[in-house]
Amino acid sequence: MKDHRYLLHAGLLLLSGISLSCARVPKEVVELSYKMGEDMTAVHSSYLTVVHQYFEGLRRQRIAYVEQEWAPEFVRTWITDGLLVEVARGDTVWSTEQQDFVPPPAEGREMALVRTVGFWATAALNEIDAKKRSLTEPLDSQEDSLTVAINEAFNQLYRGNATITAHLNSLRKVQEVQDNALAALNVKDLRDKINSALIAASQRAEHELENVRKADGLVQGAERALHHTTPDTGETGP
Amino acid sequence: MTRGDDRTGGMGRRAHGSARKTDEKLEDQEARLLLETTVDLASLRPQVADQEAFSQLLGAVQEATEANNDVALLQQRVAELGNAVTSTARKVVGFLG
Repeated sequence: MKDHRYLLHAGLLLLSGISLSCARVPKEVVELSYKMGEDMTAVHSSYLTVVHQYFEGLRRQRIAYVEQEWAPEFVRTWITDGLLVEVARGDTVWSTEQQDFVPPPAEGREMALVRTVGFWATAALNEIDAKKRSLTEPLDSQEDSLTVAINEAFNQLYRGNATITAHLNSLRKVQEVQDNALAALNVKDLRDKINSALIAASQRAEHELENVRKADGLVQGAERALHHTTPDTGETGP
Repeated sequence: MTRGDDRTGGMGRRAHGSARKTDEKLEDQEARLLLETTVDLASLRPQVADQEAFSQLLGAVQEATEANNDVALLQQRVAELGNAVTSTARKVVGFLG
């Protein structure tokens, strides 16, 4: 009996070995893996687009704040601090030599006034641009950092997928060479026959297992029924 | 003309002072804006396998791939050798016959 059990185990081991060596690696699996690499590129590109659009939305929100709230308030303040009303009245001009507001010169007064308005406007635009930059540059660097992280993650996926594709391809190569060798020995369909036999054996085993389970259920049911009909004598079993 | 230009340096400094006053006045609005437009970078960053573990896995698979390729090459060479031997043997037999 013990010998039979060893034989059974040895048989199972042999079957497992045959099954492993006979596992099919269809050429489509290599193609599928390759296609997944291509699809990954499309997902990668979409991911970057979504991230860029998200950051663009945030940048627009911040720029809108500058243009609609900050800049009008700043211009109001700057009109006062930058003496624009006084310049417009012709009471003062900007002196580049003294770096301060001075009374307009008698000669070239109009030109000095126009130049002053130009300086005033340039200083205002510079401040508005600087404000926009101060609010958008942190978003730019965050987007750059996120883009780097996404590219690194996808490069990792590409490398992983390429490695899997290459491995599947190597399995395929081994199988092809084996198929050719089997064909040369006129046992071309041996692998398929073994596989079919193993599948059939597996299905039969499942069917038999189901029968055993059913039988076990019947026995347990009978036991329960017997237990209900037999009066309790208070005796313990043998 | 840019910021800090010789001719507008003093003017630029004055404008900068006005900008600071504006910042102080709109402090609350700006704080709200920054809060609304804050990016949770950690949640957007792809959480992939750690580099070292990944490289180890890749290395193991690549090694197995190379071994498979070597096996395939060996099998192919053995088969070719078998064919060559058979062909030569046939020629020898034909020559002797």
